[in-house]
Amino acid sequence: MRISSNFGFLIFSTNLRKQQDDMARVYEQVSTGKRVNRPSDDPIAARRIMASREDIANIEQYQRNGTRLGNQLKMTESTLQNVTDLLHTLKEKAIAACNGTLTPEARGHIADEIHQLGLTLETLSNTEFEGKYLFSGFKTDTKPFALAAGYPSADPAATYSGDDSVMQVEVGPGSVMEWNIPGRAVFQGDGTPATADLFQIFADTEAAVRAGLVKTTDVNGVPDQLNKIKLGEDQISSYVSLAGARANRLDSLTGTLEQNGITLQDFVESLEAIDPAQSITDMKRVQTAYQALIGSASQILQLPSLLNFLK
Amino acid sequence: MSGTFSILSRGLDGVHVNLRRMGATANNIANINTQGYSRQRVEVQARQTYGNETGGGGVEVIGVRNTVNKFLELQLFTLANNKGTLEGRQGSVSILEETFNEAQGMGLSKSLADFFNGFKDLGTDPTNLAMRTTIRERARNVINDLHSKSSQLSGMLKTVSQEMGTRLETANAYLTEIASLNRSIAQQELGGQGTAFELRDRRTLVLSQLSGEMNVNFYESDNGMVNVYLANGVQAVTGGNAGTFALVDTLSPASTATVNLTIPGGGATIDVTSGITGGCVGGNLIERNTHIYSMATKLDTLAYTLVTEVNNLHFNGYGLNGATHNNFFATLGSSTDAARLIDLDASITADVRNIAAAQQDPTSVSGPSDNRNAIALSGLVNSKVMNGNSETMTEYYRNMIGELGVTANSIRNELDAKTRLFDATQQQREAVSGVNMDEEGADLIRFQRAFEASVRLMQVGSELLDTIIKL
Repeated sequence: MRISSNFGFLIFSTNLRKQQDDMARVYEQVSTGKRVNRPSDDPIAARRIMASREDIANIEQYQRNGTRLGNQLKMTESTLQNVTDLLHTLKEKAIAACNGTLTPEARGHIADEIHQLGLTLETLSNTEFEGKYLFSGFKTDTKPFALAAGYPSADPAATYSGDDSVMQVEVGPGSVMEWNIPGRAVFQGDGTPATADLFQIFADTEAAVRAGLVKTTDVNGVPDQLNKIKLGEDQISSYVSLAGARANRLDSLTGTLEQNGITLQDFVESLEAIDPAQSITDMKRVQTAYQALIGSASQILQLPSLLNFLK
Repeated sequence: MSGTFSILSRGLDGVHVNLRRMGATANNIANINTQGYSRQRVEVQARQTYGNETGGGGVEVIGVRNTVNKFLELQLFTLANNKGTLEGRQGSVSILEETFNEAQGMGLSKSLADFFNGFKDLGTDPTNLAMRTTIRERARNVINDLHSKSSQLSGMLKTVSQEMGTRLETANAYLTEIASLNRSIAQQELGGQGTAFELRDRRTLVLSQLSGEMNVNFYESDNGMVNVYLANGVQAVTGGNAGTFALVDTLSPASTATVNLTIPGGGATIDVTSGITGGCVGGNLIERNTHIYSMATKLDTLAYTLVTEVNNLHFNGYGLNGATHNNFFATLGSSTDAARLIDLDASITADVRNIAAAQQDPTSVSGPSDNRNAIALSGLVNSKVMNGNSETMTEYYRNMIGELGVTANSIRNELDAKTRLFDATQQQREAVSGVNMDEEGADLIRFQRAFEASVRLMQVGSELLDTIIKL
């Protein structure tokens, strides 16, 4: 092949441009630690990275929702546990009142204690969490329960001002969970004999004890109330287990989400991160090639031509 | 006797020929770095002899040839054109890519996801004013991102358009030079076709540069002039007359740019936009009229869909204060310019309680923790409302960026390949037409020696004549 004098310069400038381009790319990868710095570096990987990042952001959101729901459930569960304890105390007091040797005065003391238990029940039913009532449905700014003015003799013993709505919250992709338990069903039942109105039970028990109606034959006497207390305990414990079951479901969902989050993070990492060993090797390689090019060019381009020797 | 004189005249031939050759060599060396120059060679042949003349007829110059491989020249034109198209696109595509670079985890896809996640947050606590304020701020981030992308797009549109304007000016200069070279060549070659080497070399170079700017065809006519045609057959140079390009662009993303040509010799001005499909100008046109234009349209569609979908749900919901029939975003009449015009509704700017998280009036019907509308709004992120209900908003945007990435990637690779091919062809052209200093040096010695020999020959001839005359 015939070689023109400019041939060497042409090749040199072409290769210099290419080497510098290579070097810039490798430096960018090493300095950012990323293989994909813009979509065109790897269009397919870039699209996957974007989709995964969005999934990760959603998972973080679900986790935040889950944490808040978890706190709410914990609060509900512990409040209901307190109600169970309260019912337990009521039962003990009622049984103690049935002792035939008690004087009416002593019974009066027990009735007073039961009155206090009724007030505690009202407090528990109006428990607030993060400034909102736990048991008032959507009306979280409204105190759900209030004892009637003539408590314990008024009928009904307490009124409910909340509603029966349930908040739904997304805690996973397509997974919706219920946020709250409306108070009416928990504390007052639905009015049928199969369900218990706790406030009524506390009021009626107090009245029965104060009146000394302790024999099994007494209508609406303490023994009758003991049966209703049992019913109340069952009602509350069913809601305790409901809250517990929700917490369990949430736990398993959160676990899965966390796992998915880690997997996605790894996936993004594997798509965009550089292999440091590889990149450093690449950097050395382009540097060496560049130096070789510059070195050889300075030698070759300075070679004298025939004209230098003509005298 | 004739033999003695012929020695003298052969010597004279040699002096002539070798002087011409040394002249060509000197010219080659002088032009070693002249772009587009093809090395010249003096072609000689043995002069024809008549009758039974002995010793031959000597040597004569039959012409000067420049060493050109026509195929390579044509190849270079095509490659310069292909390379130009890609170069005309690469600049704007790489800026577009940086504008829409979401690879770093920032940008519109993040602000959009954050915005919808804000409604998920609000779903857990609709009474929380801090969360409501957060949603409003996130909506402002989305709006700012759309505004800045939209203004970057119109900025790019302007840049590309200006670049195109400058390139058309350059192309006009090329057309004028070709026309003037045409006239000079025709004049100089009155005596013989194809002898104006330097002018032709220069014209080839300018044609090649013009090919880099736009795709043109050209044909040489009998008088040595070339006519330059655009791809749609319109003449840009007719003999000694050049046409003039002019760019018409309102710089609005909603309309396209037009290239007009005042045809050679003056007179009519015609729209030649469809005839420019290659070269840097062609690449600029693709970017200006197709690529940036479609990115802007897509961004507007996305902004418009966001506004209408969010408003549809928001309008029928209730704020924490019981306010209803409020829009979240200010309503837009159409998708035209939506990315630039998108803004919050005045009711949301005024009071975050107006953000409609509830499905029923929370002050009288449901309650402040009614979160049903917030959940519905957060669900918009998953509803396929774009592209004929086949993509969600974020998918649509992601695909938009994905396509941009693919385009940028293929342009980069193609440009790389075309540049290599162009360089290789240029090297081949150099191999054929380029000047080699050593070769010229060797030739110089060769011709100098031959010249010396010829002079010596004349000396011998003269001595021979002396001898004869002294008889």
